[in-house]
Amino acid sequence: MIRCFRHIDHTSLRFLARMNINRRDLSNFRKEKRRETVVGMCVVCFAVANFVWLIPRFVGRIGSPETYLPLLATSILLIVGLLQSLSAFLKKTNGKQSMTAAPSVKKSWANLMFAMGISFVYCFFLETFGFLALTPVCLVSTWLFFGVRKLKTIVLTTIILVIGIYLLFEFGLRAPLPKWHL
Amino acid sequence: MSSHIAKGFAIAFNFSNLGGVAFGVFLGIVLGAIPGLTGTMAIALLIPLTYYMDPVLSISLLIGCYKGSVYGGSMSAILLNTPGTPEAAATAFDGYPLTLQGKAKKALTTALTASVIGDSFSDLVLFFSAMPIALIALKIGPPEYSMLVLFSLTIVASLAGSSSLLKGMIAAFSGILVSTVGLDPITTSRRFTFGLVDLDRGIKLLPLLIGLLALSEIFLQIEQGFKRERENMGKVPTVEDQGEGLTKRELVTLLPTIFRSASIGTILGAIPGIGSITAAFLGYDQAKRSSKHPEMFGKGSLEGVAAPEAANNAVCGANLIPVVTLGIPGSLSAAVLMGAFMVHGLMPGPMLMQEHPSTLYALFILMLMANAIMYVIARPILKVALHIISIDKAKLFPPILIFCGIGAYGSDLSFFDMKIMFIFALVGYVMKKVDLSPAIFLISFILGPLLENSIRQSLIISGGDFTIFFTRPISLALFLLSLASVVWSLKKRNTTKV
Repeated sequence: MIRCFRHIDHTSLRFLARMNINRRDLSNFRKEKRRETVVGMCVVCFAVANFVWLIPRFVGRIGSPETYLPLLATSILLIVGLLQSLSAFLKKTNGKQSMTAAPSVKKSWANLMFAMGISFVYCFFLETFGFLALTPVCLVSTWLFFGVRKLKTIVLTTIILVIGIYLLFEFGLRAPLPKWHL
Repeated sequence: MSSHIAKGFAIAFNFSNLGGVAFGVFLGIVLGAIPGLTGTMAIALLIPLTYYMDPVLSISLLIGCYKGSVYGGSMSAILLNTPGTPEAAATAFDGYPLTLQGKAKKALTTALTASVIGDSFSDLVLFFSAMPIALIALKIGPPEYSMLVLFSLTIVASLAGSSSLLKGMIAAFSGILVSTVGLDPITTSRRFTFGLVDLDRGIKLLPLLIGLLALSEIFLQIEQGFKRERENMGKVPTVEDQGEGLTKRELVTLLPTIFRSASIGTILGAIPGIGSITAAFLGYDQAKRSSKHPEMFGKGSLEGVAAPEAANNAVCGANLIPVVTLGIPGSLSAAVLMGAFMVHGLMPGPMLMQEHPSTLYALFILMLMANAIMYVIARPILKVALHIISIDKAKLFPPILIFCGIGAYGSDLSFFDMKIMFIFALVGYVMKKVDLSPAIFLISFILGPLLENSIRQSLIISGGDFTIFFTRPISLALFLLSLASVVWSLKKRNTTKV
């Protein structure tokens, strides 16, 4: 069975090689196809969840005036989601299409995760720790994590930014910033 | 009309308003020049700061910032071959070769002059066309308005949908669905609030805007890593060897190109869904076709710099025509500016021209003033342009992350808004990763309530009869146009595939 699949895979690869499509292009194409299908399926699942649970439970009786627009949007999402996943699933390479090979960019996942984490902490814990305590911690840690090593610059910029934003909001805009609530 | 214009002049010409515009233009040029920071992101971050200001001052500051950023994008396109904003991509074709020839200053001043003329041209069109269009728009009823909104949505989804019509539709109808969160406008029953009182007033525009446009974009940029743009480039000019600026003789020869591109930009800017990127490329293409020296394009032609710059800046004023007359944003920047109007209690649409004509004329005058101010203050900035565009993003992004949070909190002093902002930052990030357009999502989010209100009003008028949308001629025509735009978009995509 495995040999049979291998044979099919090799045959298709030879066929693709004849059409100037290399293995990397094929893999990118498959990845993109899978991604597009998943996007469509997610939309379909969301639309179905809307129909059977979210709209009846959190909007109102199906058919009542307040459900008109949610129902309309959900119906269209359901149809479009189905079409999206079907069109992605049935997508074929014919050799004429230029398959967009994603440029190989070295991605900084660690930086991204850290930035998301810091944003999460800032948005969800500012109420608890207050502006003056949390902002310098978040700023300094992010700079250090991103590789900025000039401590003098970090300290000075942090002080200027924190005091600047504080003065701007408290006195310029008269919008009080959150205080320490521990 | 003349009395409103006179009042508009009186409102516009005071020190704080002019100062606000100048500050906005300065900030826009600086932020637009930094690759990765766009004008819309700058406006999204600035709106919370202007929340407590006078509406004329704050909106003129934001418009100044938008105009400045569109020009600012050309600086890095010309000096480093890296467009600061997407609309400046066409400027790099001839701007960078000029830089390599030691004519960077000439390219930068050409871009500045073309931007100012193009922008002023479209502002004048806005100034004189807004009132007549608004008067016509006042005569249309709810069925026609709902079809007009639907038509705009389909055009935006089909034209602005980055990769496919289906994805454009997914983004559009997701935006509409999110706009229904909160109390129903007529029956006041709760919709999708999940028992949270904070959601009764719906999802607020400002946190959604900051999360979707600013924070999500920062996440994406961080994911790409921190490379100083200048390190990737070969020869870059120093301030000393930038050469001489644009001469009067050269300007005279460029004027036909500039006005042609400005007309293209103005027409495309007024149509929903097209935007400044298409305008810039079309302006460039038309300039090349009608040039006496088309062979020079791509090798350092001044026309090749002037045409896209005049076209993309001409979109700025024209973008506001559908916003102030019909309440329909046709592009991302128009949607963000419309958000700024709404935050300050000015509901864009035909009634705005009736209720606040002097305020609007004051804004139009300040838009024209912004162009003159840009011409003056951009020149000293050119001298330090290289330092601005090669700023280290690792140093720049942490304060922006903090500012996104504080901006979302500061508008309504609500911690809930900060959480909403963070959630929409993740939504925006995922949307960009799977090639769904956050711009279409945002435009639909803004248009959602307008669509719902007009549909519900139409159904009340007709006693629940849906045929009201198809029995009135204008409404039917708009519906057919919506269908035609979808069919045309599908056909166009099929032809490009073959």
